[in-house]
Formats: sequence, C-alpha cells, structure tokens
Amino acid sequence: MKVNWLLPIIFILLFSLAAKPVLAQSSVSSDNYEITWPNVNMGAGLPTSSSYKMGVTTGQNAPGLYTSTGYKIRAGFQYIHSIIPFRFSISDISIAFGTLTVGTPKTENNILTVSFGAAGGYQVTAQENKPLTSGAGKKILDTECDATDCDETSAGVWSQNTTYGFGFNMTNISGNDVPTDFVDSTYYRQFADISAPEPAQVVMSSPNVGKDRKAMVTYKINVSTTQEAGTYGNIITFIATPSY
Amino acid sequence: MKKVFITTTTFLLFTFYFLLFAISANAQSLSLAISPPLLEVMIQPGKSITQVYKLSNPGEIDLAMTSKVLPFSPQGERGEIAINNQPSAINNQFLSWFSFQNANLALGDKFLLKAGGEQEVVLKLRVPENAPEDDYYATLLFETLPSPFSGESGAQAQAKIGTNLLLTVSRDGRPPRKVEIIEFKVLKIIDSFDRPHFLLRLKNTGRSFLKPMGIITITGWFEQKYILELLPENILVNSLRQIQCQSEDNPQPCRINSKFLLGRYQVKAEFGLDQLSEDYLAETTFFALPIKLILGLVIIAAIFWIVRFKLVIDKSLF
Repeated sequence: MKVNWLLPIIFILLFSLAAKPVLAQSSVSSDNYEITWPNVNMGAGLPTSSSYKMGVTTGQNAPGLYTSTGYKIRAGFQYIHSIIPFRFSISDISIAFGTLTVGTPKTENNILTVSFGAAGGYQVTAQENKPLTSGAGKKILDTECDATDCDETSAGVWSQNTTYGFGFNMTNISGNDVPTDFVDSTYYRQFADISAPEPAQVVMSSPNVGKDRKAMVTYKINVSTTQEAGTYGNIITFIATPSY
Repeated sequence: MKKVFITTTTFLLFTFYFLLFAISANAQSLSLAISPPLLEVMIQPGKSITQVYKLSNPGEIDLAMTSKVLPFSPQGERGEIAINNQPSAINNQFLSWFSFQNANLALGDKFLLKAGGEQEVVLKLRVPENAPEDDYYATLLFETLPSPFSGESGAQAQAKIGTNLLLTVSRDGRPPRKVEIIEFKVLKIIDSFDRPHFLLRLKNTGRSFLKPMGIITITGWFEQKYILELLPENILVNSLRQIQCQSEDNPQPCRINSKFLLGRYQVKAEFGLDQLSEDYLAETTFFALPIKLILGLVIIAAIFWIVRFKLVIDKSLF
C-alpha cells in the first residue's frame, strides 16, 4: 500500500529533475542557411517587439502590415540568400622592435585577413592612439619619408637610413585590396593619429570580397642620435567593417 | 651494458616525445567574426525591436572585449563608411536608443570572449515617440582591449569589428524615395573581342535609404539581347553609389559575357526602387568593331606584301 503511494511521487521527482527546461528560442543555431528573399534573413536570431513576437517574415510586402507591426527588419544582404559571418584576423598583435640602434631601421610585420564569403564589400581602416611614446613622454615622430612627401593619407618612398620615424607599408598577399599609393615595399605612410586628431584611414578595401583576402602590414622604425633612450610604445587600431 | 642501453633508450624516447609534442612559440594571432553583417530597420516612433548578434572568437587566445555604437556617414561610391569616433551629443541623440538586453552584459561593458567561443548579444532599439522621421546610420562595434606592453619598444595591435545598422524612422512606412541618375555610360567604340563595362552611378535624393532593382538590356543590330541584373545594394540618403551587377548571387562589374560583338548596340538600364519596375530609365549606345582583327589582318598583309616585294627584287637581281 505504502509502495503504491510512493511510486507516483518518485516519478514526478525524477521527471522534474531530468526534464530539460523549455526555453524561448533566442537564436538560430546554424551559421549559414538559406532564407529566400523577399522574406527576412534573420541570421543570428529572431526579432521581437515589445508588443509582438515575430517569426522570420515581417510585413514588407503587405501594405497594411507596417502600420500594424510598426517595423520592418532585414538582416544580412538581400542578394546572397544566406548570412555569412564577417571575419577579421590579425596574425600577430604584438609588434616588438627589440633594441633600436641609431640609423639602423627595423621592420616587423603582421598579416590582416578578411573573409566574407561572396557577400558585399568591406574596408579595414587603421589609426594609432599617439606616436610611439616613452614612459617619460618622449616621442618617436611619424616618418615623413625620404622626400618629406608622405603623411597618413599618401605614401612616399622611405629607403634611406638617414630618414627617421615610424611608418608602415601595405602589400597585397591575396586580392588587390591595398591602396594604390603603396606602389611597392619601399612606400610608407604614417598612421593616422587619433590624438592629432586625424580620422582613421583605409588600408584595405574591396567592393567584392571572397574568402581570405590578405595583406601584409610592414611596420618600420628608425631612430636618430638625438632620440632619447627609453621604451617606446603605442596602440595601432584596425577597424574592419562590412559595406552596406 | 644494460645501463647504457636503458639510458640511451630513455634519452631517445624523451627526444622523440619533445619533437612530437613540443609547443612552438607562435605569434599571438587574433580573430573575430560577427553575424549578421548588416541590419536594415524601418520603424515607427514609439516602437522597439531586438536583434540577436553572434560574435565569435575563432582564434587561439582569449580576448578581453567591449562594445559601442557609433554613427557613420557614407564615404566614396562603393559602400565605404566613415565612423564618427567623437559624435556630438546633439546630432547623435539616436545613439541612446540602442542598448543590450542581455541579462549579464550591457552595451559598453567589458567581457571575456574565450578562444573558440562566442557571445550572443541582444541589441535593443527603442525609438522614442518624439523621434524625427529621418534616416540614422550606425555601426555596432566590438573591440579588443589592448594587452599590456611587453617591456620593449613596439606597438600593440587592437582590432575592432563592426556591423552596420541602417535605420529609417517613418510613421507610415512610405518615406519619399527618389534617385538621380548621375551617370550611365559605356565606351562609345569598343573592340569586338572586348567586354564592355557599363557604369551606372545613382544618387539618393529621397528621404530613406533604398535599393535599385532592375536590369540592363543590351540589344544588337540583329535583335540579339544580353541582360544584366543590377545588384540591389543600398544607397544611403544624399550619397552616390556605383551600381554593380550580379550573377548567381555574386556581385560583379556590369559587363557582357560575350566572345564577339559587332555593330551598333542599344543599352537600356531600367529599374525601380526597392521593387522591380521601369520607373527609372537610362539609355546609351556603343559600337563594336573588330579593330584588333582588322589591325592584325593589315599587319599580316603588310608582312606578306613586304616578303613578296623582297622576293620579286631578289629574283630580278638574279
């Protein structure tokens, strides 16, 4: 008799403990999937509103629906029928020059990679938070190149060991996405300086992106005899954005 | 002897183990991915929506991250943007409409994105009742926090990855849509073996971002037709965009895929705004002539003539 009474309680307890909670769907799990236009591409989740909870289709084609829902949403690009994540990589985030010798330029490099499937274009811009600066506040100025003809918007030749400062070169590895003023590996620019303030400048871009568009950034530094000893550093920010 | 054997074997095993399993000192690479890359919203004042974004770290190191929403303006004619890092409070009040709805993460908070991990953020957009009917463009940026300096001179690279938000605030959902055809051109005379490139530049003179949808039709002397489909890319208010074409979902320049063209061709671009129609029409013409072929024939004829002339002279000498 006692066993009969206990059995349902044990079952209820077991179910309560073992059953997975039923959660509202907060996202769609697949990275790439196809939702045929003109319905809405909702790549990373379903939209909701304070007054409505929607599926993947909003009312862009039905004339009265906008007034009813109060919004229309489209996520992703209309023409590719899928949502491909926009991806950006930097091969090395630490650019260490080691000990610097007067009149002996040093270079370091890293590789920027952008992947965007077959979707729209992209751009990568760059800027520095300040010129290379020591703890004592001394600066290694941005280079002006051999003929004092380069700045943050246009590159110039920097090949002489008597030209000092800090600059960078961009070289295509795959794709043809580097600004054309980087004619070859001897052409350098200054980084746009946020503290100046100078707006970030495009260092890679393309109206069409495939997989793994790569470009190499070469950082170059050369110091003069008047440069005070110290450890100099700054932060270079690369901003990768897809086009619209 | 036995001791030597054991020592040698142990040494070899250790060497083999280290060669196989030693971890190389790799450079610290960084990788970020975001989806969806673009969000287009048309919304009434007083309404709100949410959108889930997935930020992932396919790289090998954990990343300290933060987020922000900044306004941008269109730049160039190919969909580039200029992010405004120092938005003025008055002109960019709309930035306060954005927030995160995550339980444990607010917009601007620092968070750790583990190597191989991902973070979902729920972006909420709440448009106030008194919001002016207009277009608003912003980028949701996720940025890595730079690591401490290593103690030697150098730079630290920081990455920011963005996804664009195009927002139209409209009460009736029908903001004025208008474009101006700035240019529709092709080289007037091309070689028959070349593939002509059609340049279509449009300016959005309306009050909301829009997409041109339509085709370019190229008709030859013998009524042969080539059709190129315009790529429905966004043109933002008061900005210009060079329109591309598409083939099998791939953006590409507007070029005819032909091996040989001959004669006069009539070219028509017909498109509508956000829907297929013939509301807008631009026309041009071009001529395709076998210039390279004619030049080649002339050169061959000249060589033939010279050789023949030389032979005649040689014969007359003997």
